[in-house]
Amino acid sequence: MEGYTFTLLIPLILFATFLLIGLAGGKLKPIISGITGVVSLSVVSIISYITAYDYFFVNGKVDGVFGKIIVYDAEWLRFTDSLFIKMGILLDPISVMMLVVISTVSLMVHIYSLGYMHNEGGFSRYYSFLSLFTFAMMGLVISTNIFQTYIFWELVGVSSYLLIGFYYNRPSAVAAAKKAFIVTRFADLGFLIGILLLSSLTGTFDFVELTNVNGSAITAGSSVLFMGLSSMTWALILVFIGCAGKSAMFPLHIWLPDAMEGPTPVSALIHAATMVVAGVYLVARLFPLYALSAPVALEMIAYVGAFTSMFAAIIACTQTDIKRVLAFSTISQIGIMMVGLGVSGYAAETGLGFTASMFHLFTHAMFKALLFLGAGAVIHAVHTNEISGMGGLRKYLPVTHITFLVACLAISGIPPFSGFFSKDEILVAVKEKDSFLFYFESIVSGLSAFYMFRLYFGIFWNRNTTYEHTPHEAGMSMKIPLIILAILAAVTGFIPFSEFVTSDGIPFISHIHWDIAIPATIVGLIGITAAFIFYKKESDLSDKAAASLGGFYNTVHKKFYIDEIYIFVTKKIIFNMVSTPVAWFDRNVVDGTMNGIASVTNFVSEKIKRFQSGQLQQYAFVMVTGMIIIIALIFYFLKN
Amino acid sequence: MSTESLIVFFIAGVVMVGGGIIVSELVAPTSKNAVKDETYECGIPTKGESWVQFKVGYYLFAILFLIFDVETIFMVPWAVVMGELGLVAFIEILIFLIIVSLGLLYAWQKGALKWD
Amino acid sequence: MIQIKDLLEVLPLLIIAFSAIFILLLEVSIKKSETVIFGFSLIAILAAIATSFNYFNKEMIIFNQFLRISNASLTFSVIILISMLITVIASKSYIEKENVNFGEYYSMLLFALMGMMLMIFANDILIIFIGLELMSVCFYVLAGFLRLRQKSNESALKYFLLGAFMTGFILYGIALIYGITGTTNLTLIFSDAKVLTNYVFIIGTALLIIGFMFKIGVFPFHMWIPDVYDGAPTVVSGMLSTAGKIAAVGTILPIILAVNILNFKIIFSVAAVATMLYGNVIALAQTNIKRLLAYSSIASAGYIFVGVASMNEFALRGIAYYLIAYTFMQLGAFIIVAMLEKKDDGSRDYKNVDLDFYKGLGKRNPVIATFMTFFLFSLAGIPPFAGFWGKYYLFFAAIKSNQIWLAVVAILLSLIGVYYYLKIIVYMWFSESLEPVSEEKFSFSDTGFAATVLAVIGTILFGVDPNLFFSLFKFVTP
Repeated sequence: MEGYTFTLLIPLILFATFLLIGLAGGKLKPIISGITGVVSLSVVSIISYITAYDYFFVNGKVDGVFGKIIVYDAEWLRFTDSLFIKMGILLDPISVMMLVVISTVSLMVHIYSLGYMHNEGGFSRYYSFLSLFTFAMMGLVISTNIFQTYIFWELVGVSSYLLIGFYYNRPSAVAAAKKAFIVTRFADLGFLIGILLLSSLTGTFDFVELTNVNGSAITAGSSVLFMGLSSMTWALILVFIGCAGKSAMFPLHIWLPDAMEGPTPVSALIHAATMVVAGVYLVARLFPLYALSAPVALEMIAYVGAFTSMFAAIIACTQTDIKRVLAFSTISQIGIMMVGLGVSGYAAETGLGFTASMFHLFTHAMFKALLFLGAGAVIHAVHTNEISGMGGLRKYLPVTHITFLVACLAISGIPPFSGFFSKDEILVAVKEKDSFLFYFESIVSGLSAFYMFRLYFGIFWNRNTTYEHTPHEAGMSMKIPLIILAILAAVTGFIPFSEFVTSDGIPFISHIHWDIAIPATIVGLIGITAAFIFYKKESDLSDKAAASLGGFYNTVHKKFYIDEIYIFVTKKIIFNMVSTPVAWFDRNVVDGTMNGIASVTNFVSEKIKRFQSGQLQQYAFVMVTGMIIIIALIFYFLKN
Repeated sequence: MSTESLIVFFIAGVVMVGGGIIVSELVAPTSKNAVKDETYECGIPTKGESWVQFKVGYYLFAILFLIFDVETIFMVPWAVVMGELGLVAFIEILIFLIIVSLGLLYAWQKGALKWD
Repeated sequence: MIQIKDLLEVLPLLIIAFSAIFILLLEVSIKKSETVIFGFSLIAILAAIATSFNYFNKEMIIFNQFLRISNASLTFSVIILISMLITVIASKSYIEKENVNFGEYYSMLLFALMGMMLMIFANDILIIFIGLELMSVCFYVLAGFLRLRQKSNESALKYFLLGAFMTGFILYGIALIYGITGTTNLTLIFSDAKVLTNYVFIIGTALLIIGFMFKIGVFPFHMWIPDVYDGAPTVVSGMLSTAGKIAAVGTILPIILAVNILNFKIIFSVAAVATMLYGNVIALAQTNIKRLLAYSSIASAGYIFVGVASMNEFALRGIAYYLIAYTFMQLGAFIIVAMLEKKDDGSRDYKNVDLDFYKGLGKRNPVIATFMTFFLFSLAGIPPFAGFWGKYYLFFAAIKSNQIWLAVVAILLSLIGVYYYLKIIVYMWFSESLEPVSEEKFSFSDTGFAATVLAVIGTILFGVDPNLFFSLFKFVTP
């Protein structure tokens, strides 16, 4: 505890930057806001790296266990002696890992945006929102108790709303921001109820107490059954609903594709690497509870994750907008992370799923951010998002090409890139638990490789489109993050993650299971080959295949009509059958009552204001009368 | 004193005074005329309003007199016990006197003591 | 025996007392001394606040059993000092504006302050009386300070007559108490439990409490408040409504605690409800902002009395918290009204105190309108301002004392209050201005502005971190 007090600087610096840029940015030259953001994030990144180094390599391991370290825990609000809300900083393997991930990706995005957002209006506003978001995300991962998590959870949602709707002059952007906020807010209702239920069952908000395997929280709520599940299970399922909303699990995934309306670096930061993994992070944070007290909930998480991953992967194969493909890819990958958590046990090797999921979170952040930033470079060059407007760009954008290729190889699980290692570990964990899920997820891996390389070939190979003005390679500020992330996507696979991040803090050695890795790689290569056949050269093979699938293809292209179903349900059913009568009731009965009370009060007021006559004699008379009545009452009460 | 003698005393007082007034009301001759009800001003006809504005100086002097009179009264019990209490009591009354005379100084400088 | 060293224990009191006298001397010896006096009184109050913090956690009875220093009384005394500080800062521009810039004003304020502190630290009924009279007489003078304005004279006269009337009852109560117990010392009086069964003693205590209910402004002894607050100079009204109330509450609280076993609870609850009802309902019909704030202060007295009616440890916390929140918000609101008044032009009434004047204030002077909005939100009990926590602790105390009906009624009645506070906010921001909008939107020369900033800081600070108050004042039950 002594050594880590400097971690308080992380949220403080970020919040101060937000205020500084937000308040003063309008008055200064835009580039100053950008530089301020980059500088402060560099400082924060350095602090994160120092913390990580210190925690993982020097001090963190106490008696062979990476323990939870509470750096601060200050009481903020005290309602009664037993109910109080604290704010603090908690360091443990996953939070330190997240510190590194968030600060690195955010720093890359800050540098990248210097070039990408160069001539955009609202440059300072953009950077202040980026700082706000990073602050909120940092606050979320270092929370010591679930209430603090909730506060920062909402703050993250707000920053996401602000950033998605950054181009507020575009109706589609505004609508997308609203949709994101409303869907996640709706999920947060479940989250809040879950928090309340959880805290009332266990009597605490604090993570250390909640996840203490020897403590009382683990067994709380297991006795009372409701519809066959213990109340603890219900609480955790409700909390998971909040996670599902934030992490875009089916059926709450609808906001993420639309969120691509925001600037591309924002998509890289928020919707690929950090915010959307908040749900996964929270499940990981509460993992002992899930694993030991509510295994049913974990199973549910696994299946939801699996379904989502397949669902999104299929849709991604048919999308034509670069960012939409990447969005569905993100949904799919997060589904895989959820599966990893869902099949995991607790303690030592049975906790492989946990480690694998966190590892995949880590590597995914790198290569997905890289993919988005690369897509941004492409969009910046050709001014369109559609694949149909691209092709043959490898000649014009060499750096973007190579880095994009690295990312695609990583996500497809081709050795020696990072995705290979992380996906392999998840598949191993899944195989041990459930064979059906293993084959299911393998198919998803194959599809991932297929649609990613469909994208890759479509952009950089395929046909030699002639462009109006020659696409130019991105500027230095955009290239550097691409290169750095590509290097990270290549090498991070070699980190022996299980020696750092495990379900119970005790490191173990894991090794590559070649009997699973080789088939997985082959599946990936099959996917790449299929994409090669269909898309490398310009041909109508893909259109013929699509036509042969006919109606099914159309359904998938329209994302299985999920959005339309939602709109139908809300507009036709909820609005007409539920909202309209309720609104009538509200306007006439409720408002009528309130207005009635108000007019009665007003009437009374007008009538009795004359009681204050201004005449001294009357005042004295009232006072003496009051005195006599009070004394008489005292006598009366004394007699009894 | 016993209750009975008090009551007797009270009744005697009422009877003597009240009786005198009542008897003179009944027995004395009356004659009313307008001149008898006029205000007395040394026998001459009254002139002018009787409600006149007083000089505020009277009020100021009266208030100041009241304050210093009460100060004197406070000093009387002090004088009685001063012997036993010694130096401390002397210093305390000195402080009291100084504070009150500061008030006098204030009134003096503000012109409350000027008659015109 | 009075020890000389006892003098050191009452340093705040001494500082204020000597400053008050010294100011009078300054007034007569130096020409054009008003600014010097202003600065001097400011320093005196700040010194008193600073030295007060030295005495926390020392419980002692000094000066021949006449004074008692305890955490509770120190807390109340510091709150009053803060209230006076803000008043003094705001007064400077106000009395210059109204052409009554006399040094005696500050002296009166400090004498009143001394009276209030004497009342709070008193351990003897006679000392309470001395403090009460000192405070009241100074208040009468301050209320009538604008000698040439008819409204001010009217308010002073009414206050004086009614105040003197009630003082008579207080004296009678003191006499009865003395007659039964044979002593005027509070600790001795309440040390003997069987005295509480004596009818005469109870009547005497009741009269004493009733006298202080007059000062706090509880139904049915609140009739003087609208006229007096309306007519007095606005900054003085602010001070009366905060410091005066706090002094009365702080004095009577130990006495009410001591007679707690009696059935005064029901009477206090009914009085509280009647007060809140009266204050909140009649405020709805007001068109003069000073009168509106006066009625709101009556309602606040009602909330405090909800705490008095509950009288458990939560109630004491609640009362203290509400009082400090109330100081900042009510005083702030009054000072803003004072800043917006027009310069004195010899007229009978105060100008610019109609609610219509506040229409469109958001456009004319957004900074002041924002501050006023903060104060009004705090008065309405909306977080994150201090008023929310004050009301929360008070109503919570009512619930804890098994008087849930009281808490429910109080919440409903304070809801009515929200209306007229929000009405002003709506007028300020959403109505068309009836006054011309000038270019000069920000005038910072008014010291009232500095006072308002202090009040805003207090409102927000104690609203965001309620624990600050309890750790600052180490407020424990007295």
